[in-house]
Amino acid sequence: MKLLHYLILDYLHELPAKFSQLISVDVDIIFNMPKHELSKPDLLLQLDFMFESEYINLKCKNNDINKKPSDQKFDFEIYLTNLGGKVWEEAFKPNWNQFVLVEQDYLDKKNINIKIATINLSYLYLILNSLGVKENKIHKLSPWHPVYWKLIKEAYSSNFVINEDDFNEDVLLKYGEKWRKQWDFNASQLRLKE
Amino acid sequence: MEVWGGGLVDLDAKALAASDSKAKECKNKSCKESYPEYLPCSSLRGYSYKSKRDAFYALGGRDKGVKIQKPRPAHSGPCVGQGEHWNVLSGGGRRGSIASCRCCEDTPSGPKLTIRYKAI
Repeated sequence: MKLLHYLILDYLHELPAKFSQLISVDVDIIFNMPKHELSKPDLLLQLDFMFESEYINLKCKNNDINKKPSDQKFDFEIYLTNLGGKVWEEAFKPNWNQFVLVEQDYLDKKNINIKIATINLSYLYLILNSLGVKENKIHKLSPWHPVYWKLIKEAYSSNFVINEDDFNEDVLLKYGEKWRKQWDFNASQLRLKE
Repeated sequence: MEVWGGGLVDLDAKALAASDSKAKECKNKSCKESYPEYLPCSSLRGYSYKSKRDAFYALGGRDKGVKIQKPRPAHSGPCVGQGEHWNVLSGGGRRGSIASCRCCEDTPSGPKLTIRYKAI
């Protein structure tokens, strides 16, 4: 495994992605990660290796495809297998206790529906408190998928509706990064931070 | 007396002219001069939305099940240190991403800092 393969695993660790997203000139903006700098044939070659090593699987319209990436004629979705997830964990050393899942969507012109989930209940209260959300009902999730390939026995979530003008989303910035090993974005070549 | 009066009128006129000239100078300043640390909005490719909501809708955010995840600092692209990033998901997969950028826009009333969003 090269660092490049870890980068591809990292592109896919939160959500399955389409091949067209991986080959985009804006791949770094889409994934908020370093660019892979590969041509289409070279990327397909690396994906073939990862497919044959069973780190990734392919699907199209929710159906698994059993042909390797370079045999595909149309766009396809790529996702991590359980093995791929384990390899990602070995490289990026996640602390799932600090992982925060946030999902938001707009209800109407003023309000946002927000769901926040964490393993650690006191951490969830801390986040809700920093967002100014008080006396909100907490739900127990058992089991819980923080990301699609990872299963956690137990977690907690809170759903609430907030006025868009009252939602200080920047508060969440500090909860997004330190739960895992990060790329060294200042390095001239692909490198993970120590 | 005439000298005094004339002098005062003269001073007022000079002060007004100076202030007017400064105001014009401010208005005439460009983003490059006033906010050199920010990119001009016009130089950003695809950062065309004025709100995160508009960018979200451009990615099909009105469809059922489309959601935005948490914000993160922008690590890549043109706006590192001046922008944020959100994953947009639907049906368990990546629908796309939203990237924001704080940038400077030259307006008739002078340069203004603003935030632009890209749906990708």
